[in-house]
Amino acid sequence: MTAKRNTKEKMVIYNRLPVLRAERGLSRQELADAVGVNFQTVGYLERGDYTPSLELAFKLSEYFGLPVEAIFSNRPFKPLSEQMYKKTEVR
Amino acid sequence: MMKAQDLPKVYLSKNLRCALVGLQYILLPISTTLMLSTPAKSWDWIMLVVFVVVMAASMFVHTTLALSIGNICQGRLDRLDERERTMRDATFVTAFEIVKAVLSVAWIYGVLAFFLGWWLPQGQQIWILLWMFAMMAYGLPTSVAAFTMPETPRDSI
Repeated sequence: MTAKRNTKEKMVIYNRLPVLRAERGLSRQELADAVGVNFQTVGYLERGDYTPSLELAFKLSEYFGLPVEAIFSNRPFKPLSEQMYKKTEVR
Repeated sequence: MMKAQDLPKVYLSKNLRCALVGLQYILLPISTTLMLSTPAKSWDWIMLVVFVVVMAASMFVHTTLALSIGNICQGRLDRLDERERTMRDATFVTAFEIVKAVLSVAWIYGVLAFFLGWWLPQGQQIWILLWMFAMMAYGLPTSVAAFTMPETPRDSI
């Protein structure tokens, strides 16, 4: 019963696209052109309204030069600043 | 990659899109009723003008809706990206379900009307109803997409 209900629940995929795009000073149009989608699709992805295909996820990961799990996650991302600060503390 | 025709030509809020879909499905029955209620060969020019105006308004609403959703229901498939194709697929499935429901209701009504002596279209009326059904089926995917597509924030236009 629970398993059946779980398959119907939509999985939320979190992403860091807005941060990555802002860091590189890219417009939605530029990113969309680079990965071959409509610029509105970038907006849908950033807002979490659309979950990308594996193909698009890999295209984005290749474009940003980062592993897929650094861009997409099924758990909310911690702020990058917090992660960096903790890493510095460990050193 | 990105072509000029991919850009949405018209921005409409979701509420306005829903209102226009409603208007479209008010205009279509009005034009059909007009045709059904007027016996053949008794059309005067006023009726004709009213009919043309109603039809033109309906076509204008349909075109506006199609442009506001990036015209995803028409045109070549390779023009669309994966999100738009997913949306288009879902739209056509929903439209088909609606057409199926309408046909089922019409079939049940037809059987009941035949045995119970209710009104059934005769002669020219059959063609008018078929014409209305064809118009509805033609515009349905665009209407469904316009009705269900989430609000597009202005910053992503």
